[in-house]
Amino acid sequence: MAAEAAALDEAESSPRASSQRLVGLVRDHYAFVWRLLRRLGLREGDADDAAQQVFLTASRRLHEVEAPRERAFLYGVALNVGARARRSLGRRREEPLEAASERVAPEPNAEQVLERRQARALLDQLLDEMPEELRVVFVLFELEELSTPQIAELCDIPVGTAASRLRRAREDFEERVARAEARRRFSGGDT
Amino acid sequence: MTDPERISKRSRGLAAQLLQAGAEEQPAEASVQQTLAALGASAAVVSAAGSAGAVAGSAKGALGAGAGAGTATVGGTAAGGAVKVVSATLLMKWVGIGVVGGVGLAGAAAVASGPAVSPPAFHAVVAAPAPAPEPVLKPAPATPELLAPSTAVEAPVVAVPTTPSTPAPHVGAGEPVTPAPVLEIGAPLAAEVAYVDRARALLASGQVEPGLALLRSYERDFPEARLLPEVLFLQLETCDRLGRASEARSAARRLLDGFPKSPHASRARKLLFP
Repeated sequence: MAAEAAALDEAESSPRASSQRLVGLVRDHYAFVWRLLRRLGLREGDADDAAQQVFLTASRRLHEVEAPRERAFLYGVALNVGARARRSLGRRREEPLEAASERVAPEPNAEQVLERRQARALLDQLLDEMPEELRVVFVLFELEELSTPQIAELCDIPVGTAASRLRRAREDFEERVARAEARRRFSGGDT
Repeated sequence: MTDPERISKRSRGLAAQLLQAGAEEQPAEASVQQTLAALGASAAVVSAAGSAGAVAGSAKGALGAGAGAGTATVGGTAAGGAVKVVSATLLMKWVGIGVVGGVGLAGAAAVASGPAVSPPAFHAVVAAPAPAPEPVLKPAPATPELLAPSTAVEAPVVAVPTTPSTPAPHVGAGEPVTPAPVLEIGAPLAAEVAYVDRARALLASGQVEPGLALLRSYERDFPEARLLPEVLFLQLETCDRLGRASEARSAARRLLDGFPKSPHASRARKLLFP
């Protein structure tokens, strides 16, 4: 307790230390926050804005954040910011998702960049269809490569719950991918 | 409990391809810089507010007129704490924020001024705290040097005088691009952001050598080097494009060794281990 109070005092009394810590937060966690926002349904430009908002929020509440919990804190802020952004951008987002399914038709000779973009568009579409609680666990495990205990800590849920959600999320995702693949074949886009 | 094998690690299959594509995605460099710039602008304000005492000061905000010019002024009186004076051109180029207006700072006096030109010039004076415990009631010194608009070719200068009245070193227009070796201990993050932005602007305008010279002197001028990964990244990219492989690899190695979790680390890896 005394150590926490001392740390708080130090943080408040040293703007330089706060700046240093903020830069460190961006350096260490920006990609994580940005990718999380992307996979939670925001488009690139919107993810840029939302990620900035996450770190600006962090800058205002820096004194609340204990060093070992920085990532969990950013994750929590990112979820809130992402959810708000999705609500406000929901209508805008529908069109590209529909368009994404059209773009999924493979183009064997397409450039790799375009293929990646198409793959991400389909990935985002499939993730968007997943229940939120499964989607979050799935993204953290498959894309951010966190372990189940780490996910449990980040989401503040028991490890068993995290493991159960992960199992269901993987089944759910693979089913969706299988359906997407079937649609591609049916449409003559794949052989 | 053992985690299952990740789908993305499978060697084939659409699910693996989709997840690999998702995991590879990285934010754009500009996106990271934009956030750093936004935080830098905030840091200047936090720096001023951080020394707040118990007495609320008066504050006023003003937007400067003219093409792209942004002037922010927060004036107040200070009591029981330090007086800080910050004069800064905030980075309008990258962020839509950074103009401080209508902020009620308690016991802090801050002045932020300057035109938002690109590349921006930057002046900052951070005064050491006034000797405690005697309350300091002193308005921000509105010296012409602090408030005068800077020219686009002016080198960034940040100084830390020992007293609030110590004049800041000033580099005028027409002087060499490389700034004088001024010790920047305690300089606000915004100063570092402005410095790096200036180097970026030089590089973008084709002034490669002056830009690289600024980057090389960054660590000397800012011993805290809070933006070192970004500086190394700029060095890496510039030297790589110029075909200066040795310098590019040197920057990449420093970036990878010192900041393996940086958003730029993947670029360094690609250069070192193609």
